[in-house]
Amino acid sequence: MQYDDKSRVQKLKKRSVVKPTEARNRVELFRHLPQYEHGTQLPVLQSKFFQLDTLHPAVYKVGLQYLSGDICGGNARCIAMLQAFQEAIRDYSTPPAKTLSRDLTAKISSYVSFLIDCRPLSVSMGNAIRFLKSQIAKIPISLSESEAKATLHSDIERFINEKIILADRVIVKHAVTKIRDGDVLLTYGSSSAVEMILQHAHELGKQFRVVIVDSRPKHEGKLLLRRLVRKGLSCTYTHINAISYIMHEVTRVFLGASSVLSNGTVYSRVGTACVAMVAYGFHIPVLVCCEAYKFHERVQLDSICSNELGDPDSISKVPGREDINHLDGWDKSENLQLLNLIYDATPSDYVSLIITDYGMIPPTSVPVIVREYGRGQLWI
Amino acid sequence: MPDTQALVNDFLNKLKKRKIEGSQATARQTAELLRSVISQQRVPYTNQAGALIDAVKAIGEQLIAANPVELAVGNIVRRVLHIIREEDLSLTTAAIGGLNLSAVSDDENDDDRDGDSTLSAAAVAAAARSTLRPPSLQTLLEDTPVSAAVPQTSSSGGDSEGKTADKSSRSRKLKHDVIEAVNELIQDIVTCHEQIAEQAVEHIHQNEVILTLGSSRTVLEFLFAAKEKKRSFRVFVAEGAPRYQGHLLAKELVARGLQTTLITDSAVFAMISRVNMVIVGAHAVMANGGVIAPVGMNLVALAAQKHAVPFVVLAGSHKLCPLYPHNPEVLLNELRSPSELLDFGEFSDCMDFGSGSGSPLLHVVNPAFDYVPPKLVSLFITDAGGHNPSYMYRLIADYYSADDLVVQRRATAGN
Repeated sequence: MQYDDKSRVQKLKKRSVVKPTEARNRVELFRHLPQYEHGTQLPVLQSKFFQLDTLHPAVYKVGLQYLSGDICGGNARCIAMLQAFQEAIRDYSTPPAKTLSRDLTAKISSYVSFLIDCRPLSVSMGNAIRFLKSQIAKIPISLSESEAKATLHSDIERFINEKIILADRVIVKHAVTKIRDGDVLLTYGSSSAVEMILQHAHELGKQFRVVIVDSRPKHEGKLLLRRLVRKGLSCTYTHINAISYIMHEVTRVFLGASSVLSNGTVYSRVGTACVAMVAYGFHIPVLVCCEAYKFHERVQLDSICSNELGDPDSISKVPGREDINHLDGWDKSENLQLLNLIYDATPSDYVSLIITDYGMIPPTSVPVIVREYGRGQLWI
Repeated sequence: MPDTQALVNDFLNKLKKRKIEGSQATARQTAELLRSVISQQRVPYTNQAGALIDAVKAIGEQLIAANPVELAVGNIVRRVLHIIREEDLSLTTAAIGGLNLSAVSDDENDDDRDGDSTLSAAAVAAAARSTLRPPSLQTLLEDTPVSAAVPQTSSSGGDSEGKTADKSSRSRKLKHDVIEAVNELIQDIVTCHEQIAEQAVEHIHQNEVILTLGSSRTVLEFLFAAKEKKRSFRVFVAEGAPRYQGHLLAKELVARGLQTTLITDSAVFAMISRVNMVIVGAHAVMANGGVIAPVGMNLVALAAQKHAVPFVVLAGSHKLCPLYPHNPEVLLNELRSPSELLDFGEFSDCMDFGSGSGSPLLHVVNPAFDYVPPKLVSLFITDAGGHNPSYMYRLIADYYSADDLVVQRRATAGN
């Protein structure tokens, strides 16, 4: 990510479909990350729908869904993207005088850069794209086009099934052994894996309470709260500032992750580090639930070198509280910047256990899994 | 008297309904109310200090009960009680000093002026015994009330006339002194920001990055003072949900030309590694050096400790409370309305008490305050200078008396 390098930014702008406008009041610390004006791109893209022949409509649709925030969360984004690629591959036909593997790889790359313009890739999506490209490269020349396309289709299907859906089931099976009767479980934001664990444990008849901690600006915890209360779990809802107050009652903390990096750092929704830190201070075990396909060999020490910047306007306004309007017109003053971080990096000391489809591992074993099960043997 | 009662009732109402915002305003209004109570209180000729103390204690008890979480009220009540005791003490000392002098010039102008000193010598000595000398072991073991000695030494009728004259002048002097001291106290409360802000330049250097949470007027003045002295620095302001006072602070800082970045509370851990110092205000400072602060402060303090960032708390001396915090998260906390977190209309379907046991499935927790233990605080900056958390208990001896820790009117037969 080098958005502070002017020549690179120019090159990117020339190729892009979305043509975003740069935000005005940028935070100095984050000059190396892209920050664009939100709200301007969606209507422009929607109007261009019938004019873009380089882009498959399924990919276009997924891009718009990312931009508007309809699809959110590592697994959901990855599955949506892969399914869009499946459709694109199905409708693909090799142009004459070109090999399938090279041309298809180039096409997939162009789709990916469009998706990046809509919203920067998550680590899960990055790993899935790497997998897909390696599968395309492995197709033998002898295979006919329809056979190649069928192989790719089934490869993607297997990836989604084994790496995401079945992996989640294995994680749930492991995790419910860690829930005892009378537990008070705390979770932060809304993670698909943690939600499945809680629902399954409730179905098994375990007696426990859930504390949902939420924060601005996305308030993802509200959706999780609604779904859990509907299933009949008794929930306590609070905001992140109050975790010191509520942590006295808590027995276990379950967190989701966008990715786990090779130095054991958990890269997930901003605020996770705060929750893990307070839990560690109260000597409460922190369990991170993450599928193995989200592991990455990158290492990161803090949340600043690599992150995603969201829409600053969502911080200046508080939905439902019109009296909090002190920052109307904030972009006119050059002294004020609003920072909306999407991710943060939780140091590995705060994490007690990582529950993956390969089993329950300590954070120090993550690079082992990345190395042994990462590149070569993807199906094991 | 009915005048004061109306004032007191009005103030009690405001406290109960939480109409007064902020400990400084509360402290000032409490001091002003107690001042009017004292000035209108009729004091008897003997033991006027005791009468004043009783009156203040009676009112103080009601005030503290109206809003137990607003510790500034109790602090000011105890300060005023301490002032009364101190003024009484200094008057007694002065009287004894006058007594010694007049013993030398006794043969000269005897009757008129000495009516004051010689006649009251016995009474003064007795009063001195009770106030000046600390209780001896003998007294403590025998448990004899020392002030019982006073009426026995009062003697003839001629003495009593001079005594009453002396006592009334003394009582007027006592009330006068007390009211002057309370005025000084009010002045201190009102100007505490300036005195704290004067120390800003010692703590903020060039190109510093400062983090703060929510909004505190003391922090605002502190940062302005540093800006006036041409220090250039940046400020990260955490919003402070669910009151969002960080937005206010950010707006004011920007208006004064400071580089400000507003972040959400969840981003505090992410950003604190790039911060040089955390400067925050407090709601109250307890005797062990612990801090009662707006919710979210413990999070910031823990993150600051992890990254070895100094955590500086600014507090006026009216916030220093002589009590020790026992279970502060529960006893010194207030739970605010859940509607600040969840919209009732949106979640009305989840409020169904339909499960078998009848207990609600959804419970919303919205505490107003947070407790920061003393080991997380690096420095306290008060209007009396900078101190370690371990030193705060000594300041209590300056401002409060040990007898006043429990503000309750003793149901014993007074003098």
